[in-house]
Amino acid sequence: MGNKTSLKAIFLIILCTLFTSVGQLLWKKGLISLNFNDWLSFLNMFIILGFISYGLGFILMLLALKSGELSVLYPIIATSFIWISIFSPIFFPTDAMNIWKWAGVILIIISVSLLGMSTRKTNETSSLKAVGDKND
Amino acid sequence: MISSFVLLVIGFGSLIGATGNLVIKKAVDGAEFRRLLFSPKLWLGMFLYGLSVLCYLLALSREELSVVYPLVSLTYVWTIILSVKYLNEKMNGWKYLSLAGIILGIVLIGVGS
Repeated sequence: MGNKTSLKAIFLIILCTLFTSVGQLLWKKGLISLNFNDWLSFLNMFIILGFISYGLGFILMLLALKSGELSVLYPIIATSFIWISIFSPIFFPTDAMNIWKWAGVILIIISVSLLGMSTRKTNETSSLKAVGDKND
Repeated sequence: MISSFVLLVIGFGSLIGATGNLVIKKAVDGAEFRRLLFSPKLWLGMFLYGLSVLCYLLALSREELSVVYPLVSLTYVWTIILSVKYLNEKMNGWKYLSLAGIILGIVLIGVGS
């Protein structure tokens, strides 16, 4: 495993973030029309598409972690918090951001990025990075 | 304000998800990559992952996406705690800082919700 994160890994993780975020929006859309008295309504098109999008995001993340460092990839993954904060209120009129929520989101993004940095300091592996190491 | 039911479901779901992480890590450490598919630990980890997704969907059906999604970062907190406790990984200043930051961020989102 090299020290440098390849451009390919960065491209994959951006794509992963995109699919993951779209998956969240699809799930929310599908859950709004959920009828709790009818279990089959759980299997509506939006929720199924949400699972596909989320699953693709998960696979892309595994591929990216194979050839990239957490200290670079975690901050990019964390941008999905920004996309959700921007797009959820656009697609769902009942949802809205405010100063408290933005402060919380930004703090979480910084914190997740710090967590990525911590792997650079101690040189220890996370579960997913270990998957990549075994695969190399 | 976010309901205690949703908080509880996310708290439980993220713990299950982090446990799934831990079990998958154990599976990966203990087996050759080619044999991973036959590892019961891997499948247990995947099952726990699936369970945590169901918890997430339950929470999402009761609360706005811009509130529920950032709260899932609680998974990172559980993962740090579990990997120090069960994988002998070391704590360091960065981890303490990110732990505190994530928890404070979650509180802020709770206040704003």
